[in-house]
Amino acid sequence: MAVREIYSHPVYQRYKTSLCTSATFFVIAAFLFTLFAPFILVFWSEGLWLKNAFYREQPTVQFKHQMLLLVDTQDEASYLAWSTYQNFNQLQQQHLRIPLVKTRKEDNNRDGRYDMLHFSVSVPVLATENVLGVKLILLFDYRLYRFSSLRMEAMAYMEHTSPLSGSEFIADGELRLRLKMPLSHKAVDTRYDTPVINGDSVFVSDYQLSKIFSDYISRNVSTYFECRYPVWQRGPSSSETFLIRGTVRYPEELLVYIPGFFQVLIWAWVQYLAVLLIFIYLIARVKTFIFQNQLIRTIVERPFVPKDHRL
Amino acid sequence: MAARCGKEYLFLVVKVAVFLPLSLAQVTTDSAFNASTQILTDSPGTSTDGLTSPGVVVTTESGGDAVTTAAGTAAAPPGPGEGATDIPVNTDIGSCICDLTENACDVNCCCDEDCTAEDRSSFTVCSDTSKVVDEQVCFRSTVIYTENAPETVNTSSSSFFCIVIDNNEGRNYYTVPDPVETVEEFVNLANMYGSSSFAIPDDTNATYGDFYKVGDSMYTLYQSLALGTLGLPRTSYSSLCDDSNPASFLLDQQTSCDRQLADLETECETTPYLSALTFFDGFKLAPTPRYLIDALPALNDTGEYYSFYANQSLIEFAVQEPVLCQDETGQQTSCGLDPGVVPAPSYDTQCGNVLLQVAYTITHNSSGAIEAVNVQLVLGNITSTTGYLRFGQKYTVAFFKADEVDTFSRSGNPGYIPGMPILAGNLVSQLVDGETRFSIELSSDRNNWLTVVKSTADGTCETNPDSRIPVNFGEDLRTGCMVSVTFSDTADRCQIIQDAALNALNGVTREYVATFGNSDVENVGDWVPILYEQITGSPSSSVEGTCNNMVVALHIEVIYANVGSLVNPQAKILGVRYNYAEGKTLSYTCAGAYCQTGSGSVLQNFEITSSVAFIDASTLPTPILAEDPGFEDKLPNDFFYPFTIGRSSVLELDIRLLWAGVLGYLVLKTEVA
Repeated sequence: MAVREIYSHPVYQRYKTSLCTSATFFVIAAFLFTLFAPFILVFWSEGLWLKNAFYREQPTVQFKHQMLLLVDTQDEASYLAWSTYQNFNQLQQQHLRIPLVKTRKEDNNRDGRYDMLHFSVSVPVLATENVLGVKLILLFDYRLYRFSSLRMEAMAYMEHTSPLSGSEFIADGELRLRLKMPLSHKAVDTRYDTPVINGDSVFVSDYQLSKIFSDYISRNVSTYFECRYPVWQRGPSSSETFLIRGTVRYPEELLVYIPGFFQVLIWAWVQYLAVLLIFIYLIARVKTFIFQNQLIRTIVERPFVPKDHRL
Repeated sequence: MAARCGKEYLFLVVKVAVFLPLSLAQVTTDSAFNASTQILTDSPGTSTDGLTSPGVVVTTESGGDAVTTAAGTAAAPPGPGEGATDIPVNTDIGSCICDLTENACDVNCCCDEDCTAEDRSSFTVCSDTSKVVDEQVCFRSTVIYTENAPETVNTSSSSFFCIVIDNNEGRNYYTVPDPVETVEEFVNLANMYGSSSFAIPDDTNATYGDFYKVGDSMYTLYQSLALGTLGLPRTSYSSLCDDSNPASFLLDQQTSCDRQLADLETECETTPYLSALTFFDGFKLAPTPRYLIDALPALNDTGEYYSFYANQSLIEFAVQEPVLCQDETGQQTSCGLDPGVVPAPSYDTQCGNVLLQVAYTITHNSSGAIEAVNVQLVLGNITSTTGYLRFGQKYTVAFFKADEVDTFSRSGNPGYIPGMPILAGNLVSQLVDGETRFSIELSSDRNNWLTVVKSTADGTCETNPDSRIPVNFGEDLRTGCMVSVTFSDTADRCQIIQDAALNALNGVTREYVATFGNSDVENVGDWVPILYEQITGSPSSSVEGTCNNMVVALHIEVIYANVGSLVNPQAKILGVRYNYAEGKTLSYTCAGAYCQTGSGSVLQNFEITSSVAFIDASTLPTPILAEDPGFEDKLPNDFFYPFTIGRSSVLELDIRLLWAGVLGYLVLKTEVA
């Protein structure tokens, strides 16, 4: 009759020693090694501490109904200007030409966030004025919610000049976010919720494009209008208007942020644990080998001996 | 040197050791390769000449002999591939690719047999050694010339996974392809390996259907019996008209584009597009696309052929009377011409009777055939200015079905569509059968319903009430114009300035706005009254150069909400408010030269602003959810009696789950053990 194993259990083998022995030292050293070696290994292989992470979010963008427009004509001494800032208009008395501005926001997927803004600016021009260039600043309220709650005033700048006089400029592009630093994990960030153009100022210097742009680009978080395919409709128009039209789209952005404490810790723990388990296993085998063969001397307590084998 | 060699040798051994498993893997690639060659030899066409694999080459050679003897008797030209240079299998056949000149030494070509040792001594580099080096092979031989003395040096490849021994030579050489003999083979290969190219795609011939479909071009027949299409000039890459653009059937279109003339006097009477006749005279429209193809007689059938143009079935363009004439201010009045007479342009200090607008009205029946074409013309005079002369032309095509009359373009059905004009009109009452009936009086011009002020080209306010900007649904809008005043005006004539401003802002007064894009004018209930904010105070002047309490801005707010299904929202206007801005002080800025004595007539501009805002007041549905059905008990109440002391169902469930987990764990544990 064949013999079958019907039950089994492990036997504890105890090794004992006093406090100040090489065996005690070995066990402590092995413990510390098991603990720290994985950490060092994981640290050296980079990426233990998660410094920054990514997420995607579609910003909540609202057109602020503020804009500044400059139109260059063939007359070198003159240009056309207009803005929604009364002080600017007051300064530009001689160049002021009030356009017809139409905007329409659209929420394609009806998720409550606007996806694009259609705009059209038709500037009345005289038949003698040939438009050679256009500069347009549109201002938006830009918000992010998912990690840090960011709120800022964003700018879309579009510019085109052409040696040929035109009747229409069409710009269809995207309002993209430019991050110089990662966003924080959790905070209300209103650092840049300040006007891009100081409309309260009565000084010409505050409305100079160079100043507006250098102030804006020094922000850590800013936007730019990306229009790869601008269209300049050549030939002056007989309809006595110059039309600037286009679409500003608000795409989903890939955002970099500094992860929070627990995210960093969990990520590090996952990596540490993976290596730690291997070390625990290996060191245990090493210890078993050393104590079984008594490479380091200890008091070996005999485990319980089955009755049959007792003499 | 010896030490270095030894080191290299050691390195090589290491590499071989590393590579052992890889060379084992080659065995499998070998068989795979053989299988692939098998497939190639199996393909049709290879059986005849069979230059693919070495085994078949042998048979070709014997077969080739047989063909040569046959050719000797019949003296036929050699067949394709016959007697071609034999390509040995698994051999690099480009042994000396730099030897390009026969019977002469090529510069820097060391393998050129025409080069003498003296020639070689003047070479700076051996271009034949710059062959493509297989990155996977460990060693590559580079022949360099140092001090004009030939010396061979072995350079070891630094790659870790380089191949030391390649058991499968075949995979380093191309398979030997067969020449293409038949068109079918060529097409097969081209389809298998070819991709897109610059070859001109096969032209699809114009199809002439039995009737016109939406978007089709409409065919015309000229007096010369040339075929054409009805054109609708429009702008393409510049603001100038592109005449070759065809009009599309059933698509109402309106285009405006520019014409440019260099010399009006000479071009006035000769340029075709200045004449109205160009756009309706001298050609006729085909009622259906097939008509011209089917009915046009053959060219040799001369008598009938040349009289075909007089055919009654062809549709003639009927000029709508009266022909209009546009004056400098843009006003259009009847030219007072005799019926049926449309003059050609004529030059007399200015170019008269120049075509400014063409409007085709095409009547069709329900089966896609054209029944009649009406053409409305607007003529005008253009005067010569220095340099280039530009003027605009407008082209319109509109379609009507024969039995449809009194049509009305809705702005939505029922909800407003973004970009469509908002319906606005005034309440009128009418006495019908002794009772008063109210209805809304709506302008027939849809661009004249709800309007805001327009600026002229030089920035001043447009005074013509018919020439204003329509308010379209969903489009936030801002516009304005300028009132120019002198210093003295500001103090004395504040009320006049204010009246002018309000006149410009209001335009034609509208009382009611339609809630839906299809609201019925008879049903006043579907219209909401416009809320006017009353203007408080009146202009006054306290200091010279200022006007206090001036209203110079109007803000129109439209509140709408989406109603109906969430997936198909319909916009409904809830209310409209005319909000006049607070009284503002206009002050003539005295800075610099403005208020110096003697410059009292210098104009300063004040902006008058109109703006429109659309406010979405849609309320999303509040979800009403049914009550949680709860966990349905399948076990008896006292199944876990000692552990279910608390009678809270949630607690109960939790404890049950816990115990189920514990039991499951125990069972598993015992099984594993």
